[in-house]
Amino acid sequence: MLQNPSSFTDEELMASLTSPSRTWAFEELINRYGKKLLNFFVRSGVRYDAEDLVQQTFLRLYRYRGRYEPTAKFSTFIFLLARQTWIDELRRMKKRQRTFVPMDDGFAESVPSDGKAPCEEHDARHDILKALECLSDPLRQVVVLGAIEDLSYSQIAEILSIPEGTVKSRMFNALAKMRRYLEKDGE
Amino acid sequence: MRVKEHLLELPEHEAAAFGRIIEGLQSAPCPETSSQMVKKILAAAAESENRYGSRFSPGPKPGTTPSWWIFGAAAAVLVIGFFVSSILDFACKEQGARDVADSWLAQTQEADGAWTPSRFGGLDAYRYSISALCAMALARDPHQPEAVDRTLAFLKVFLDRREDQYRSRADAYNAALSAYAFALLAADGDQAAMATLKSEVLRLRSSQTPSGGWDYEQGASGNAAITSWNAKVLALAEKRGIGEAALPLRKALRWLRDAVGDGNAVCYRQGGAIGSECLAALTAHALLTAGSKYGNLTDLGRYLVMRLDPNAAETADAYRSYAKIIAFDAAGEGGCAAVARKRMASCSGDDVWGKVGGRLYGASLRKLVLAGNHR
Repeated sequence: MLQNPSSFTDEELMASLTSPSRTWAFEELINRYGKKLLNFFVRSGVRYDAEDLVQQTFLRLYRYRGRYEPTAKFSTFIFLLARQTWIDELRRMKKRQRTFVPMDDGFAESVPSDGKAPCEEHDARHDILKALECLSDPLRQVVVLGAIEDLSYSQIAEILSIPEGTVKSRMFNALAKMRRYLEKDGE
Repeated sequence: MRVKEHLLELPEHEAAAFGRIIEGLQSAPCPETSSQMVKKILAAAAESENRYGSRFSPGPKPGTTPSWWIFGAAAAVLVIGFFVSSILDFACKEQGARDVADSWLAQTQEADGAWTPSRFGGLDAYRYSISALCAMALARDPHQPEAVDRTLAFLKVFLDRREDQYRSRADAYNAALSAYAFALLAADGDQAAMATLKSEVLRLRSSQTPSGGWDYEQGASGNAAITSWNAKVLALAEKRGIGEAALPLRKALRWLRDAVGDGNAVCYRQGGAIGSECLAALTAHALLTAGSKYGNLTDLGRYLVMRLDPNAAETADAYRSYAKIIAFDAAGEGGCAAVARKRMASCSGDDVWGKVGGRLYGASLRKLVLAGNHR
């Protein structure tokens, strides 16, 4: 009987990737997690290189496939790699800021205002994402992993290398902060 | 424990408020991956395998039988043979097309240095912009310097006399493309040409909208296509030592950066509903070239380029094909540029802008990008 790659679990696909290697398994994993990882990076504040980071994460997955323990959930493993990629990107961006001219450095004051009032159209979904952007990185990543990706607190704890209790308190603080932002904005 | 179970531990009003936030987050639109992403990742993994080891092999998919590999290998030999011969065939046709375009463009130039679109199915309202494209195309040919100089003299007269504000789409394209061709091709030591370029910069500065764009519609804040061209004019002028270009250039780049909307679409106007690949490509090229000293803008330009599909099955649109090819070239995506060139060369059917630009527009754009790498 022919089997569709989509009928394999993530863990079975990873097993196929390790011995012997199979392109179809890797491609199926990319199809399943590509958009999730893109969402993770975009919501973590990466604006323009998010797809590059998705690529880097999958390349890490491929190179480190031998280190994957089948007892661990695959989603934990791949988001762990994603977070490592994101941290490396932050370090690289800090280095880059010293090389390039910042576009907005001292420039805003010299741009004359057109005298128009800012747009007052409220899009509730836009406000939610703005509220998410206002969070610090540690809080935002807990929300992205727990509220958007619906990972368990134990998975989040492993990915972020923090105790499960800290995940719980960060989630609470993050949602409370978003609530204050949204209520202040008139939602 | 998951977040929904966590909410059960909270007071009811708080759980309800948090629940609404979570629903909002889960229903917010997600960014889409580009059509090329999977292929790029697989290619990068295969390259990594070639460099570090040979364990990554295709292998049969589950449910297939190994004997298919024998047929596969035979088919691969045939496909490779066909591919090589079609590349050679394409290269010959490409060279042939270039030769024809070169001589045809030179032969159809008028005595005043311009071209007349209406002779070849286009509109004379766009005479200056079409002539600018033809001059840029001819400039790729080392044997036509006098022909290019005649066009520059023609464009100089136009630029010296043109009004500050655009009154129509034709006005806007005439001014933007003429200025771009002039900024690109005018000789460095030509004082009169530099004076024209400086006047053009001052005119662009005075007609720029407060948000940094240019438009031909009254009250509009900017048009992505015209703003992209003008940003490149200002960047070329700044490189040539015209310091007055710096401030309007930065404002224009900021306008282009802010024109990339939700879902990374670029529309004619900021906040518009319908994006287009042509506008995304023009914007990307402007960010990569005119914005080259700002790291975040070149990152944005590359990001926009990553989302272009070089192999999209499209209606004939030489302007869009040209924009995509120059964007791929500027981003260093040679492979995608080659695919897009092949697509453009084999495209048939009526061009969507054919009734505006006529044969001159199509011939000059094809000459500009099919002749090789365009930066």
